[in-house]
Amino acid sequence: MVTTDEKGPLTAKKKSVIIRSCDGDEFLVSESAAVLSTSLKKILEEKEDRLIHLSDIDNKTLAMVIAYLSTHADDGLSDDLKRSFDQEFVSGKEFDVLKYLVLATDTLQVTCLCYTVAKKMADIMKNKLVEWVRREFDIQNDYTPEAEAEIRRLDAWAWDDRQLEDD
Amino acid sequence: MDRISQLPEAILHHILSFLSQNEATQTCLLSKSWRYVWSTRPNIEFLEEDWLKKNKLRYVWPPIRPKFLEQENKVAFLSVLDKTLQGYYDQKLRIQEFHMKILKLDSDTILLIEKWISIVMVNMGVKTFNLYLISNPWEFFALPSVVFKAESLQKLYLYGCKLIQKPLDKVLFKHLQTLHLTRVYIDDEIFHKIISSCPLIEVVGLDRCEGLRTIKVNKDHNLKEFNFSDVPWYIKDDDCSIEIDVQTLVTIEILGCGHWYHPHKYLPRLKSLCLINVKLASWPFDVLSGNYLPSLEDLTVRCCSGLKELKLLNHSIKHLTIEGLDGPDNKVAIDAPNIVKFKYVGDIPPSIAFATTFSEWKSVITLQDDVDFGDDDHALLSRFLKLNKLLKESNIKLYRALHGSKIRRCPLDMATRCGR
Repeated sequence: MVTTDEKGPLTAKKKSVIIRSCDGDEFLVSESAAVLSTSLKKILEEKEDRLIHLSDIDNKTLAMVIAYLSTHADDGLSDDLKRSFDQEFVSGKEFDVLKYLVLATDTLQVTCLCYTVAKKMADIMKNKLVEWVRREFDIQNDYTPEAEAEIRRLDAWAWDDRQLEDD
Repeated sequence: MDRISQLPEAILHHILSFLSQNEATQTCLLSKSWRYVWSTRPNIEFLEEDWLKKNKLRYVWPPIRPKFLEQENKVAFLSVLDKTLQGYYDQKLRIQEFHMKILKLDSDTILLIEKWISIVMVNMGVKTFNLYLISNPWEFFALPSVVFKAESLQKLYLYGCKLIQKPLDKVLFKHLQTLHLTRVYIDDEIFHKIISSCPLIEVVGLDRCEGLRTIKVNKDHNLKEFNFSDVPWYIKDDDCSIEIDVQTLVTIEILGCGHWYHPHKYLPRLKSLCLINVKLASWPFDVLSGNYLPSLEDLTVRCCSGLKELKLLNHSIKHLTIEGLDGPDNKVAIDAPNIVKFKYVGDIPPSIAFATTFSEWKSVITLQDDVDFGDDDHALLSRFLKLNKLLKESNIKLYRALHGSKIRRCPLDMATRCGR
């Protein structure tokens, strides 16, 4: 399967790259969008190959990253529009989706997307009780109650009264 | 493995870097694998006011809470700060961002910050350093000269301290891009030493700094933003003059400076220019024309002495604010066809002439004092009538403030009112 990016069929003049996900699907991306990723840029500089295989990024995540790269490579869009696109891009996304996105942006080295996604993940955790975060992110509490009390005592300054009352 | 803990540590650090110090610390309780993630994140943020807030104490002056409680809090704050930084030091970790705010300086605090500042700045490779100290000016903390060796520093924000200790040899701010000094005591010599050692500097902000008399930035720099703010020159004994010979500027904001010189009239990228309380005795306003400032969009000129006449011919201007023209015979001639918003504030109605405008635009005219249109003041009256006619034709509403108090919105028809 060859998918063109959002701006429709690419003109012959524009250089493009094919990126294959770990599921085997192929995406056609303009070179100007691909080079926004530092690692893709390096690969393209090193070899002439127009087909890049990414063994650890799945279809869904790759499609999202490519949509992001294509938008940011579009010179016709103003910075404000790109910023609101970023906001839109992460809003309402499931935590799992964000997790794979942040891993993909780490592999591909897309600094600005990594920043946006990590910030969104931090916003989810902000002002939440430890118990809430454990529940939401499915983290198994492997502390014994004694150990937990000990940690709370050691760094007592980090917890405020409200949270202690809640426990 | 659960949904988040399997992420690489670098990403977890990145996520935690958006949280406050205590929020990040709380993550140690999530599970054993999270125990020490927070204590190695690349940023440190110790803000004493957050600390007080958390402990339900407010910083007020004079302090109304019991003294011992305040002291206890301070001691606890400093000990956690010391412990946390010691942890970074022992593990030889690097800190990218360091942000500290201290509300009251005492001798213990000074000892502690003296100890850590040089370690953080020089040995931990800090990129953003933000130090905010609240103290009396006569007790300002003097930064040790070792800070000038912070080679990796990119952004430096200082509030409420002294930069008086001369650098031992060279200033090593090779990577510095942003320099922001608020209420800092610094003299010309040290300021110039810093600026001349920063080839990459892009943003300079100076807010109520003491000791500066001449600010010079020469053309070797690619400065983009320059902000200067001080009490008005007519209040200060030693007013400051600013001379910037840089053509890459995008934003200039100058509040209350004695003199502003710009050797280069042509600033191709300048988008926003704001001059407030600036002495403009010999400043030719023709430099505001589109030939010299082809990208200028926002222009504010407020209470600048020596400003009587303003001729403006600039096609890029969108927002224009003029305030406090000198004398009753002031004149404003504007040819800015792309104007979107025009604002005028003053004691007396200005004599404004607009040349062509392409599209609809908004205007707000505020007269601060109650204008008295007595019979003996024909000139003013006729000028006001003229302005009113012009404004009416341009479909503008007139705002009027009485006695400088509440602004009463009155799209009033002055012609009938004054004709009484």
